[in-house]
Parts: sequence; C-alpha cells; structure tokens
Amino acid sequence: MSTIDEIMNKPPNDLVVPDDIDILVAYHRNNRARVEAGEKPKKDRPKITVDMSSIIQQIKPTATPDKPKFVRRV
Amino acid sequence: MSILNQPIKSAMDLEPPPIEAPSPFLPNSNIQYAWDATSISYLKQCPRLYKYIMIDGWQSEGESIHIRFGQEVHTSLQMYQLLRTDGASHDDAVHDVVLDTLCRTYGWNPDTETRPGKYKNRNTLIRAIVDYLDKYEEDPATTYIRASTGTAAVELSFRFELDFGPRAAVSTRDGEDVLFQPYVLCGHLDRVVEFSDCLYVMDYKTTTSTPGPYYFDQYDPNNQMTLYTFAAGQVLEDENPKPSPVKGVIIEAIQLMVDETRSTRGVTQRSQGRLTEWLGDLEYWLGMAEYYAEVGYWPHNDTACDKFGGCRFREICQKDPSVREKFLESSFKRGTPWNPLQPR
Repeated sequence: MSTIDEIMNKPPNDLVVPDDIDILVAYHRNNRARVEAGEKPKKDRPKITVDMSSIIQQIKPTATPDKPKFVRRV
Repeated sequence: MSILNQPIKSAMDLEPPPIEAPSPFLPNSNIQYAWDATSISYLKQCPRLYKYIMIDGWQSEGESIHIRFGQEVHTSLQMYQLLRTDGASHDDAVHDVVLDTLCRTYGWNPDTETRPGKYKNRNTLIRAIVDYLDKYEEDPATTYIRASTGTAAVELSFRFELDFGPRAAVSTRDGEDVLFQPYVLCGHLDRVVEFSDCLYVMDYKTTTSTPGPYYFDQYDPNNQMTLYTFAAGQVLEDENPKPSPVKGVIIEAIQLMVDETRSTRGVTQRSQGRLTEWLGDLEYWLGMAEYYAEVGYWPHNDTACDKFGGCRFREICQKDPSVREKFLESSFKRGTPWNPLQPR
C-alpha cells in the first residue's frame, strides 16, 4: 500500500497531524504542478517487491530483439 | 491554540445529531407546500419524475454518490471560507479543511470500478478541494459580510412564505377565505460574494463534462439560478445599510477528471423583471402540482427523457406500465423522499 493510500485509509484518531495532512496536500500540489507542466501525473504506486519481480520475470515474453520475426508479406 | 494543534475530532464527533424535519406536504395529502429548487425542477422537468422522487422516494445507488460528493465539497468549501473570514491563513485553512474532510468521510468508499465512483471518491474529493482552494487563494470575489450580524454570508439557509398557497390550504372563516398555509420557498445558498461592486450568489457545481460556453448556457434560463437570485434578495432585504441588489449567480464549475481537477467560473444575471416573471410562472406550476396530487396522477413528459444527460428513470418508462413497478423495485431502492425542509 502506498503512503498516500495509508493516510487515506487511516481512522481519524490514527492520523498524524500535521505531518499526514502536509504529505497529502503536497502530493496533490505536486501532481497538479506536473500536469500544468505537461507531464502525465505519476500515480503513487506501491513499490514492486522482490516476490513481485520474480513473478514479472516469469510472465515476461521470452522473445529477444535479435530473434528473427516472421513477417507475412501481402 | 494553533488551528493545526487542536485535538482531532472523531467521525462520531463530527456527525451532527439527526434532526427530524417537518413534512413539506399538507397533512394527509400529496400536496406539497414547501418547495426548493430541486423539487421545482423535478416538477417542471416531468411530473412522473417528480412523483417517483418526491412522493415515492425512489433512489439509485449512483445518485447517492453524487449527492454525498456534492455535500462534502460544499461542507469543505464552506469551512474554508469561514476559517479565512476568522483570519486563518490560506495554508492553515486548507490543512484544516483537508483534515476535517478526511475525518468526516472516513468509511465512505464508493466503488471506483463504477463510473460515478471513478470520478467521485475520497481521493478525487481531497484533490478537488486542494486544487480549487489553491486556484482562488487570491479571489477577487470576496465573501459578503452581513451588516446586520457581522457574519460571513456562507451557507445561508433561506425559508420564506409566498403570498399565495394551495387551494386546499384555504378555509372559510366568517364568510372570508383564509389561507392557513401559504407556499414556502426554501433552500441553501452556498455563499454571497461581492464582485465588481455588485452582489452575487456563488454556487459550486461539480461536473465531469468540460465547462465551456455550452456548459454555462444551461444556467440561463435556469430555475435554480433564478430562485437563488430571488432568494438572496429576500434574505438580504433587512440588511442595514441595504446592500446593492443581487445581480445573479456566479457558477463555480469544478471539473473532475481522472488525473486532475479544473475550475472555471461563469456568471449568469437576472433582471428584476425576469425574477417577477419567474415568480408569476411559479404560481401556475404549483397550481398544476396541486391538481396532480388531487387527481392522484402525474403525467409523463416524454420530451424530457433525453435531457440533462438522460433521465435516471428512462429505462423504467420504456417498460410497459403493468410491469414498471417491478422494474423500479429491482433497479432502485425506496428511501426517505427528498425533503426541502431538512436542515443542513
């Protein structure tokens, strides 16, 4: 779970004030600045853990760039 | 004590005790005497739509997300204006509002896989509030401070009687007709502002469509904006010194997109002649409503089904009348009907 998600899901009495609110406000302001600068806003995604990386390795396509590709000419 | 160091309120603390509002209908009848912009709009749009919502209380799940989101935006922006009027800095006020909104909405988790939930959820709510407030930190439209009370004209509730009422509310005493229950107009104004030396009502709208000229065109003519202009004039009538007349409504359109929020401001004005005309027309409309209630039938307006983004009951009205109630039961839930007299 991302930091932002953690803050958003905290019960009211668990919120750390003002730090959590600072983080949340800064997150939205930074995202807005990126959009205004023409960037696509970065989603606050969770970091990929080692376990996830190994799964990604397993499902990655096995084809390599130097392997010849078949092209059907019409 | 600094605003930021105050103890955190729990969701329970923030929940106001429920207040039971009086019925907006005359006793033992479907004749409505207390009207707000929402119920008048339903009536004008389609009498059957009015019946489904105001009398039967049918509600859809998506609709409750829109209503909750709108209410939260209004509550947050209202709190910000009050904090600023009390002297808080922009940043302190934004922080307080975000904290309060987080606490208030804890546990509200709309399904983000649905279209309403994708655009209207806690995350987009916080984003919309921060983006909107930052944009208008130095707002040329300033909150009107009421001369009579010295308070900020924010979230002003209004309720006033008209000089006409339902025919059923007339009784004869000593040979004279006495109106014992006139029509009541009621509602809530988000804010009254001073802008370019004039007074305007400010109304917040959240939308997923682009607020260009076509978007703002829908507010002129518009039942709600005319009522709000008229109501603000009534509310401020007793102010001393008397402020300048209320010119119209500034519409704050807050566009919700997946990745960002954009705010655009539009102005719609109403002349005194148009306000008087609107009120004259209203007498006829409310007379029609009383007639429908008396005969127990609310006709369908089939020219309005595709308006306003499509009526929520459109699919119901496509069904044969004999099975319509069954489809209503499966697609909607019956709740407490909208009550214009419900205090906020």
